[in-house]
Parts: sequence; structure tokens; C-alpha cells
Amino acid sequence: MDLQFDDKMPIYLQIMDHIKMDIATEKLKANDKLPSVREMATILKVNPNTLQRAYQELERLGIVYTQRGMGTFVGERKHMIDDLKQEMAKEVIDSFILRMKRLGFSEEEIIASISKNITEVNKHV
Amino acid sequence: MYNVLEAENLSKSYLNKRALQGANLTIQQGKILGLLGPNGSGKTTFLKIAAGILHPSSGKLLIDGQKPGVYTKSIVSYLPDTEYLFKWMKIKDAVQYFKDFYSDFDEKKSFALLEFMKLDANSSVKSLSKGMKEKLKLTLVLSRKAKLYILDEPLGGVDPTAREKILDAIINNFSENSSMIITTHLVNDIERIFDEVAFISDGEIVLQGNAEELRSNKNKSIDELYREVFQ
Amino acid sequence: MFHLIKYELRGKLLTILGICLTVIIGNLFLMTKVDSWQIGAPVLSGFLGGGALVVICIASLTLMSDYLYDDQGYLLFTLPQSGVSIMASRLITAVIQISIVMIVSMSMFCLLDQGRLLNAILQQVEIHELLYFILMHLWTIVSTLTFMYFCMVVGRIALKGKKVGKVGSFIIFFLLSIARTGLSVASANLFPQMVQIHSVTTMTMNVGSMIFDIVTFGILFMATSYLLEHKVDL
Repeated sequence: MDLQFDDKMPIYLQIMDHIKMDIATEKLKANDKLPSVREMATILKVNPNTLQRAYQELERLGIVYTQRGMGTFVGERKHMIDDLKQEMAKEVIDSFILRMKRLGFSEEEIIASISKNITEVNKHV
Repeated sequence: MYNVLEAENLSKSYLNKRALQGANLTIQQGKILGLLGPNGSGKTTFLKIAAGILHPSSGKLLIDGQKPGVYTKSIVSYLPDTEYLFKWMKIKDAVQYFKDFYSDFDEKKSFALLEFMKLDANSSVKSLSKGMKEKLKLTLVLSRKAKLYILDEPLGGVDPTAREKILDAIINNFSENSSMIITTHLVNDIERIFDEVAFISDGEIVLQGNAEELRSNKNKSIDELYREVFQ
Repeated sequence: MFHLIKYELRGKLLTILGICLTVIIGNLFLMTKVDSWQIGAPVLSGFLGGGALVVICIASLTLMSDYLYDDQGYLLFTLPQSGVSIMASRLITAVIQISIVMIVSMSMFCLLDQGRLLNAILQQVEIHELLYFILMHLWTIVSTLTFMYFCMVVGRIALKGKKVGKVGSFIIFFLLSIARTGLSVASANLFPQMVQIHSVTTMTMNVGSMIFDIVTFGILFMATSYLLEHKVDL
């Protein structure tokens, strides 16, 4: 994980986002072990409590689970990957729509611009 | 979750100035607190009182429920901003010194840290560069299993590669049974390590809070907040 | 406390060696001149020994001064050691260091003198008197240093600034010495009983001033220990 943090936002949230992204893109699969809090803290140069909080929040959301003495693992909830993808996509789309509206685009213009630009983007990917 | 350090209305006055004026601060077990402020704000004064080498004019400061004294010195590991090691010593002498005087000194850990910092136990303290001296001081301080670590400008005057090593050592040293209070100018480099931050200005604590909460409430990095508070 | 003694001795090891070597070499040189300089040689040896003593005494004072004013104090005063421990180890170390220098000086002198003076003394002096002198030697070092350390610590606490503090300490020492002498004389008058120590030279010691000295030492020792532990601000 090579993370660039934005210090303006809570770091634990950014860590959570990255783990969710890794799961959504299947870099991390069900029952994969996440690095220990201490390991990750050292790699990321972040307070271990921050890592702990990220893992705990992910567990609360049912995305990961902890086994005493063994570590934290990616959950195997059905449709989890799809749910995460949907959730993250929604964030991107909502923010995109808001910004386009602020620029003054109408709803039809927004949809049209997506079709127009999607082929452009495909060329560069 | 008890308070390792409690400072209440702490004041320290000299003939011609007031270094601390009613400072209030608490540090919980297992937390790393950043004490941030410009030169002359009272940071070092506060730390010296906690270390037991300076005595307050009024107010109280308790460490593990006790006033600074022989007991607190045995559970507090202090890294001062000065060159305080004896010049006649070699690195291994300094290690032995700490081992002799502190029952919580972990010799194995000190050797591991010395290796990590790429310091040779046989070199003399006199021959070390500033960066190496800082790394040595930190090695000695972190090799103790103390309840409270007090680090006064651990990154001061040190090149970026040495800073990396120092930060790594600090993070690795973290334990739920101990706490740390760190002062620094270089907020940017180190802010992700802090659980809590406290801003000190003219001898008073003007803001104390959880780092992550401050980020989310103010939508600013701690570094930006710092510049804002001290403008 | 023993660790403190160990490190203080190690810290000044080179100084002690330097002094002893100087004395030894100086005396060896003088031995070659015994015949030509006659009485001059033993006298110079005495001066050499005296000088060595002065150097080591000053070193004992500068060590305390370094603790109080230099960065080395940070290391010492963050140790979990009581004021009593610091004072006691400092005094014991000083006694050891001064005694070493004295023994080396006196041995070299006797070698030079071929033991003549020593023989003369041993014939006159009895065992219990010898013990008394050794005791007085230890006592003088300990009580004088304690008195001086007290003045230095008070100077450090009361006055800010290195130079002011040191000058202040000296003034305090001067004033307190006068006060002390006055009180000592007063107590001697209160208890005019004497204790005879030496049969030949009729050296006697006043009980009153002896008690006064011991009590004063005790008070100064405890006061300095307390101040070192609770009042010194670095």
C-alpha cells in the first residue's frame, strides 16, 4: 500500500477508504489477513491507534473481522464486493454531479458529457 | 484509561518573565500527545517540570499520581534538547550507564535500536555528528520501558534520513502501557503520529484535542491549524 | 549510590592519573638532585604534593559546579537518585580521590627522604593518635566540601546566571565562614571542657566546638541533599 495522505481529513477514514478500494478491486480477497496494526503503522508512519480505529470501524461495518491473537481478516459477506463497489461509485458520482451542477451544466448535458468523454478516457487507460 | 500526567494551573515565573501561566494538560495512558508552540511559548519549561529538573512556582503536576521526584524519575524517560552525555564515554558506556541506573532498561532492545540506527557501540560520544548524537539519545531513551516518554524536539537539527529513522523508532516503540509527549517545530513531518495535540502559547494551553477530530471538525491539517493559531 | 561513585571515579580517572604521574615523575627528578640541592629537594617534594592536593580539591569543586551549571546536570538530575545519595557518593568519591593523591605524594616524599621523617614521626606518635589524624583527615575533607557544596547549591538556586551564581556562592561561603567561626567560638566558651588527644604536643580538642562541628556538618549535609533533590532548577 503506497498511500499519500491528505492531512486535512481524518487519517483513519483515508485508511479505511484504501482498504475498501483494495477489496472492491479484489486486490484483497475474502479471508485474506490484513497486516497487523503495528506493521501498518510503521509502514505508513502513522499512530497505531489510528490504524486500530480504522480496523475497528471496518469491523463494525462488517467488512473485516478479528480473531483474537491471530489478526484481522477480510470478511466473506455475500455481495460485499458489489456493495463496496456501489458505495464507492456513488461517492464519486454524487460528487461529480454536484460539481458539474456548480459549473452550470443541466442534467441532460451532464449525461451527454459522460458518453462523450468515456471513449476519450478509454484511450488513455 | 487513567491519566499518566495531570497538570493543573501550572505556573512558573522568573524574575523578569512568566514562562508558564496556569497551564492545564492531561495525558492518558497509551496516547501520544504533541505539544506544539513557537520558541519561548513554555514548551521546554513544561517538559522540564515533568522531568523533575525544574520546580513550578504554583499549581500542580502529577505523574502517575505523584509529584515529580525520585519515583517519577524512575518511570519517566526524558530526552532533553541538550548534549548531556558525558564526553569521556563510548556508546557502550552510555548503554551501561542507563542499564545501571534504570531498572526498566532493556539492553537487548538498545542493541537492536543501535543496529537500526547504524551506530557502532565502540565509537566515542565525542566523535559523533549531531544527527548521530540525536539517534543515540533517542536509542537510550526508548530502550527504557517507561510509563511516560518526554521527547523535547527529537527531530531538531537532523537531516531527513535521520528523521525517518527517528520517526520509525518512535512508532515502533509505541505500547498501550505507556504514553508520550513530544514537542516539535516540524509539525508537518510528525503530525500523523499524534493521538492528541495541545497548542501552547505564552505559557498557556490554548487548544487541546484529538488530532483526528480536529482534522474532521476544522477540515485542516494540524500543521495548518498550527499556523493559524500562531499567526 | 555505588553506581554514582563508580561513574564519578571513571569520569575523573585521567585527571587523577595525570596528577599522580606528575607527582611521581617530579619526585623521581628530585631524587636525582638530592645530593646537590640538599634540603631543597624534600621541600620541593612537599610543594609538589601540596600543589597536587590543591588541584584535586579544585577538581572536586568543579565537578559539582559542572553538575549545577552545565548540560551534564541534565543526566544526573533526571536519575532516580535521592539528594542524600548524590551528596554521599560525591563526598565518598572526593575522599577516595584526595586520599589517593595524598598517599602517592607522601609515599614519593618518603622515598625521596629515605624514610627519615617518617621514622621520626612514628617514634613519637602512638597508634591511637595515628588513627585520630586519619580520622581528622577524612573529617576535614568531608566537612569542608559539604560546607562548600552547600554554598554552591544555594548560590545556584538563589542567583540566576553562571557567573553571578559562582561569585554569589563565593560570597555566601565567605559570610557563612565568618558566622560559623563566631558560633564555633561561642560554643567553645559554653562548654570549656577539653579532651586531651596527644601526650607530647598536648594537642587538645574542645568538646563544645567538636559537638558544634558535628551538628553543623549534619545540618549542612541534610540541607544540601534536600536542596539538590527538591529545589535545583536547571
